[in-house]
Amino acid sequence: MILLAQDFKFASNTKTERGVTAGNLSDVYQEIILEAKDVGAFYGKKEAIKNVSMEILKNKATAIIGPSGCGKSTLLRCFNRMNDFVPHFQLTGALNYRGRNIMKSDAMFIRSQIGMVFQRPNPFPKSIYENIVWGPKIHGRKNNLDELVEDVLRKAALWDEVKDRLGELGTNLSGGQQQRLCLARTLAMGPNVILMDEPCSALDPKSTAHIEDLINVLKDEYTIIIVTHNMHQAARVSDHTAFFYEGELVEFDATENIFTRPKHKKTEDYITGRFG
Amino acid sequence: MKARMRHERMFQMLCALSTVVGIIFLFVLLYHIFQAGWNFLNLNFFTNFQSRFPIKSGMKAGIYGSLWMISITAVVAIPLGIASAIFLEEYARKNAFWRLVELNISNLAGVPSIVYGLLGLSLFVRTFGFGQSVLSGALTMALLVLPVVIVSSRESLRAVPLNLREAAFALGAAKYQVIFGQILPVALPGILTGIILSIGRAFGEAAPLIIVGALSYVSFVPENLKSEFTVMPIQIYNWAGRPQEEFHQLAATGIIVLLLILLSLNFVAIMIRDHYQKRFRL
Repeated sequence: MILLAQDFKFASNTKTERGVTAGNLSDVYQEIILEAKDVGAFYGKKEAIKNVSMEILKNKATAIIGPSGCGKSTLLRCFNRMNDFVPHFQLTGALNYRGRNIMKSDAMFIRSQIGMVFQRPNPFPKSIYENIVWGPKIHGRKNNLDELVEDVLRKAALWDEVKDRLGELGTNLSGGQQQRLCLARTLAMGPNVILMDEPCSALDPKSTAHIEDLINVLKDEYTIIIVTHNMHQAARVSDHTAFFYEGELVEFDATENIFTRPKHKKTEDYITGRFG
Repeated sequence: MKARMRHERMFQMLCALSTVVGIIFLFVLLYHIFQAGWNFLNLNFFTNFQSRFPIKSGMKAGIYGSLWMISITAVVAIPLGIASAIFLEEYARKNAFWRLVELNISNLAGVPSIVYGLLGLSLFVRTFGFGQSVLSGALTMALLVLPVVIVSSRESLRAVPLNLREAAFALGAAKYQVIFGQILPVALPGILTGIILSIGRAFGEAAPLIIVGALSYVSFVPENLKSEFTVMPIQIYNWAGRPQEEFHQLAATGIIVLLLILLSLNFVAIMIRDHYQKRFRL
């Protein structure tokens, strides 16, 4: 089976990057912002992730792909401690954010540094303005909130659509606008990393394209990890792609390599659509 | 096909009939009460105390007593109830002990009110020495409605969607910030509805207060927490037990006033719920 590179449209700046091997993306010039070392995750007795080790580079977009139930969302939610709320959830191994152990850090600090955009748009049932300032406010920010709102709404490409109705309910926006509002809300915290858990799966194609364009712009400033079912999306937005299967990290490489020269049979079968 | 359409129509008729039965009884009741009580429904009824003469009789003591009692009950039961609900729903570990506590609270909601009266008598009137006062009555009522407030508040809290909590936590909020900033505002309409319904229940209760020692003949309004008092349902009961026809009519007037207060409470509950529900669309 030979895959052609033109089958997938790649994010612009991946072509020149050197190939990297699974589990080791370290580059002399690039900072590792997130790191998983032998991470295993259990829901009760059920093992969701097995011995995953990977390094996420700063200001890159990393896609996590794989069939349903392969543990990709579980791993994503480990990075900002969202699994803390799951009863009987257990984690083994170590997760590091800029060299500090995530599980031993203050969860509130970790979450303010590592933001998250969810699968279904979940704006607060408050005004658009309140949606954005609530996060900064609870962390004690009181000044220049108006500027902040405009700034993050512009970054999320939503400003022009809502600038005259910031007092309206965020929940009254369309699905795609809601998701961009959620992105703006996350940006307002000034995070370094943005986790996206299938951010487009509840959106129409046009809104999806909108979000993807945003990811391509935002990754200059933020580190983005996106879980997606859509392989074309992974190819379009990410620099690196990790393929998960049954809780294991099968392959982790530059996106272009994954989609044109996969090293593992499973990866090839998945991206060519033989299962998944 | 024919048979199924026949069944459909029969089922529909049966349901409609059941509804009509309820409505008919309600209207018969209302008609009788209004017919009997209409004559005495004037200003005197609200400004006069009880009297030997029906024409001079009024419900001032009962109305003031009920309002005093219900205010104190609300002040005690609402914060305690909501705080307990928050603890049980958001903070308590889901282990056997707390499950047992939850089960017991649900069961308490079904305990007959007279049992609360006995509890109030021994606890507030005797042990704490509050006497047969409006305070004892109100605290007894607070105990009576507390389980209902807790259970309904918990259900409202539980109905707040998980993705809203996740959104708040993902911004690095502390749990109390999530509760006050996001969960309570969304759960508020449900919590308020539960509160107002239980306040309505407390308004209509007579049995526990008779045991605690609310008086049947009172010719003064409560002046402080230690005052003796009566409430509207007791006065109604008292009038209904008199032999003279006029007193029965007075009882009906009392029922009208009680019904109007309860209906307006429910109306307020519905208004509040609708007001907040408009804000929140899933």
